[in-house]
Amino acid sequence: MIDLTPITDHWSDLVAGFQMTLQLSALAWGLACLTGIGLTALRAGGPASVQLIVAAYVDVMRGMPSLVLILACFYLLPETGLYLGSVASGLAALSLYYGAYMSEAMRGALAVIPAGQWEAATSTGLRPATILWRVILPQAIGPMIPSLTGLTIGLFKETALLSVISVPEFVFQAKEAISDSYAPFQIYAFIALVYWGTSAAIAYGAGMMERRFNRYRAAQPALRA
Amino acid sequence: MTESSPALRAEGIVKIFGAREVLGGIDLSVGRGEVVCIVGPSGSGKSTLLRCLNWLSPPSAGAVWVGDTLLGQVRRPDGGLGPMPKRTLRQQRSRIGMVFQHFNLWPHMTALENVMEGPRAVHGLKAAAARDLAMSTLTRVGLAERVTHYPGQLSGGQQQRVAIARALAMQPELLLFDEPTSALDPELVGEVLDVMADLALRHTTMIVVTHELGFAAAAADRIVMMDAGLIVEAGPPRQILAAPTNVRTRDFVSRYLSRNAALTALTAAP
Repeated sequence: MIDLTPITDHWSDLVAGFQMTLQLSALAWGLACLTGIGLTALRAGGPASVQLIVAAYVDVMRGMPSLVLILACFYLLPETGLYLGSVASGLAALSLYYGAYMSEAMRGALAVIPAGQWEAATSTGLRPATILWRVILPQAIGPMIPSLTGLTIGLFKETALLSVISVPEFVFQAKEAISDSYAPFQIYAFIALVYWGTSAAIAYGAGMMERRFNRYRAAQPALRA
Repeated sequence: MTESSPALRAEGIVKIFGAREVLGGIDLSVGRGEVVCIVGPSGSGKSTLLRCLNWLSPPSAGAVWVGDTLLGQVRRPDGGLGPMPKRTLRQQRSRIGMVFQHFNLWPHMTALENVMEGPRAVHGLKAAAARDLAMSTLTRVGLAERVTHYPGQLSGGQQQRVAIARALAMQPELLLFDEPTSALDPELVGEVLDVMADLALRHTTMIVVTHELGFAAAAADRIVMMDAGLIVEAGPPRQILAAPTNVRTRDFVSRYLSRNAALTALTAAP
């Protein structure tokens, strides 16, 4: 029988760490979404110079390990006089990093909407905001969900990297518990299980949302009269 | 708006894509209740002209009037033309219905929702009123039984009829048709042309880009023949189809007629 006391002895610390992980994930996800939407809008409608800058930004982010960006935000920003603390700099790094990826996913889903969809709405006299909201997004969100889900799960897991800048999240608390109990197997197995369970829950929820948004497609092959 | 002004008037429409001049200066006037069919070989600029007429693709030069009002542009104090405020342009576009070759229905909305959207969003109709309007318009194009279907559940002919209903529900002053039957299986062309012929009978102002010379012969008040970005000949169907004076019109019409003659000969054979 496996001895679970290393886990139960550190239960409150581990729970606090996991709560921190969830909060960081949710906050960074929200900020990354906003960053992604902003970048997508600039790339679609901004002046050519801005589009170029956004493209370069996305490229740099995609070519960099997220850990490098986290360390840069934590160690280099204070040099410029901006001291954010470990939690804020970690959040900033993850939001900037995943925002770039999210904008790529959004751009891809929007690009496959045929121009005729815009044209029909424009010739009807709809406002651009109405076209986006009523015509384009309902079609784009479904196809966007799988890649955004992958990024969301990636973001959730990579909050673990913030343990290297001493953010007291799940992995950080686990390491503390291990150095106290010398029971790495139980504790790592436990947190791995929790990470897996949470990722699976996210994937399940996203799958339901995807079906919801793609309902009209599912209806299609049916009646051809 | 005076009664005498045409439904639509275009003057000196030029369209240049990069270094290519697609339209070389088109003048066209369409009277109220008139049905004008634009014919001509592929690449002659027919569809481009249509898209200039509702400012979907603003012309490089020239002007369009809908009724008495200038479309897409405003007269500046110095007499020149400047771009129109977007809100005014949207308001004007809603007076011109457009039907596309590939229908361009919104796939996530049912037939009814496709037709309701414009009246609700542009004319501010309440849901119930928009629903009634959409129902009656879809009934008019023979689709009362298909209102809850998504476009993907409808045949091409039915989709195009929904698209016509979507344009009609805005109660436009004129309708533009961009090769409305070119993407359809041959057996579905008839049901769409029937709806269009019915609109023509009710004196709906229509500009129809089409390859269906049979429809043009039966429904058009005037046929406009385009070639290489210019109008080469225009007149009543009898003149254009039976006695064209322009050599390119003659070629175009005779190719069409000889194909039909071959069909007639084939089907008449024992």
